[in-house]
Amino acid sequence: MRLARALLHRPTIVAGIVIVMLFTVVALLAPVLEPYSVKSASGEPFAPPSATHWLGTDDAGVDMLSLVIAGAQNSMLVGFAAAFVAVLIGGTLGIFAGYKGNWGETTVTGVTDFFLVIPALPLMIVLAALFGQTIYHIVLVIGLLSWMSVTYVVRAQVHTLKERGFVGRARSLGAGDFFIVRRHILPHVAPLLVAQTVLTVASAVFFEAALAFIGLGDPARVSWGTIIENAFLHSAVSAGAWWAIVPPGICIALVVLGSFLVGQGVEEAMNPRLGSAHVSPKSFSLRRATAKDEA
Amino acid sequence: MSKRQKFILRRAGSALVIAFITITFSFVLFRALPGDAASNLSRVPNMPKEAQAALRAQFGIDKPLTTQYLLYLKELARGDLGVSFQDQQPVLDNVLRTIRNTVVMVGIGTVVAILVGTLIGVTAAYRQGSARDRVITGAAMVIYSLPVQWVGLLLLVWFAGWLPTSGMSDPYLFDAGFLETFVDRARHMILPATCVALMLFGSFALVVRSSQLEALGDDHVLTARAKGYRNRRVVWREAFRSAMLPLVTLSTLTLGWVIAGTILVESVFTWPGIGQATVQAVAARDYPLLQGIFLLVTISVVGFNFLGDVLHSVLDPRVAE
Repeated sequence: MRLARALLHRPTIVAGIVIVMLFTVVALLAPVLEPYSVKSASGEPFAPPSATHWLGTDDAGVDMLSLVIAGAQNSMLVGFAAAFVAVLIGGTLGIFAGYKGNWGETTVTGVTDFFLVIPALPLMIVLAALFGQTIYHIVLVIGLLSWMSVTYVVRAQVHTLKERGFVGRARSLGAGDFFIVRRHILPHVAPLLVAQTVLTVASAVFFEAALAFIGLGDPARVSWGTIIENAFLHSAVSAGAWWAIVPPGICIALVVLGSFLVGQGVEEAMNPRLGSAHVSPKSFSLRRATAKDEA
Repeated sequence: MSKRQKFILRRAGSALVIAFITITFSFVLFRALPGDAASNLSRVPNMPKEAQAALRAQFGIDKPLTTQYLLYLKELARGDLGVSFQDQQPVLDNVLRTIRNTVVMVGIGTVVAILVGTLIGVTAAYRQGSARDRVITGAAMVIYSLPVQWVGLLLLVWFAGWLPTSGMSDPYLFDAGFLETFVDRARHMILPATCVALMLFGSFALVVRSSQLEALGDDHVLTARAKGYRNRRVVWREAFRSAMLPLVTLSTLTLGWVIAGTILVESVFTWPGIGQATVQAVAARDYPLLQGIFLLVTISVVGFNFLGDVLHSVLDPRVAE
């Protein structure tokens, strides 16, 4: 639990955790928290923020605050589900490649390189258009194209773990590969997997909003992406209704920022050398003597 | 053969392999997945069986997959990407026409992003941890995490009335001279190019800052300081020269990606470029055009990656070893 304590000592990580947790709680409690229905009008079209409608209303007179809360539910669902898919694939491939080495590693890195080169958004658009536009397809499309960085990070970590004494000792006692991975590799990779999940949530929320904006969102559900699309399509801009545009974007930005802080913080805490200062804060004096030029 | 030549040859080989896999992958994606072109077209109600068969024959979907694949490679080699469903024009013409508009707008936005990002990154690295550094890094990170389409909409809200908000030129501008046309185009370009620059400058600023921080700790910078050079010279001529390497890599990578990333910007500002063509192709289920765009975008990314490798090996001979 040294890692957990190290994490809680960094204010940026704590801030990130609080932000992500907050939105997760809002997403889980969405049906209770929505002040009005998102299916029917509860005010005038494009009514500005007021005491009854804190964030105003959209083009159809639907309460914006309720929309943003309902949007949190679906955006966070897509975010976490897609991140789970991505980390499952990336984690499995990464552990396999790092542990197996040789041809296994060459194959995995080759495939990963290929998927890294393909621009994600155009391929997602093509796949979403081919598959259809339910929320499950969107989760799959995003998850299936977000695992590459997870593979690389996990593979590198497993590489160093494999050389550690306890793995060799377990093997000399006759432990099988599967046992070693489950008992000795997985527990050490777990924090990294959590960090990667949180990081992937950010990009998944981002991609969901992008797909929705292009008209490939789930038409039956409200998400932050579909709110922005709706505002664009129903001329919130020419109506000057900034309140119909601003809130979902800020939510997306907060989730992205929050998970960025968490994910990066965990990676730094696990690999303290990343955080070492090269130059002293005041002026450029000599940097601390840490190994840096690995590349 | 020098080490660098060998390195470049090896990278070229792997780029070609990836390009070939992409071409095959795109074939599988568009021909073998459910919902092929003809089954979508033939969804027209009451379409006779013969007409469906004729459609299949026209697009060559009635032949076995291997024959289709070979045919596809042959046509691709001739530069034939098929015919767009929407306007019955060759896909290649459509793609080339729209990509020209994209390259101009995105190119300007990217150059602005690189310049601003560099300036800001170097300024932030000048005193690590200072208030200025923290404000700059924080702002770059926040802007980096904003959804592009949302930033575009806000720009529209703020600047509607001041600047043209959609399209590439004023349709009511007749018989305009060269200067008038140029000013009109430039004014239309301001908002989308600004949006592209905002989308990109954050990552440039962060990368430049961290590589500049590393460079400032290098020995030759310390030597320069010891010689008593001015700060400006130390920062730009000594440190930034070696900090430029990651910037070059990131720039070539970004150039490949912006064509893909411009989809959202072009949708917001209805800029008639490759991104908007993508969205229209999706809406109309225009698979040949979609495939053409996908191929071109992916291969341009592969090409720019290769260019980045070559530049990198020229600037830093160590990578070839």
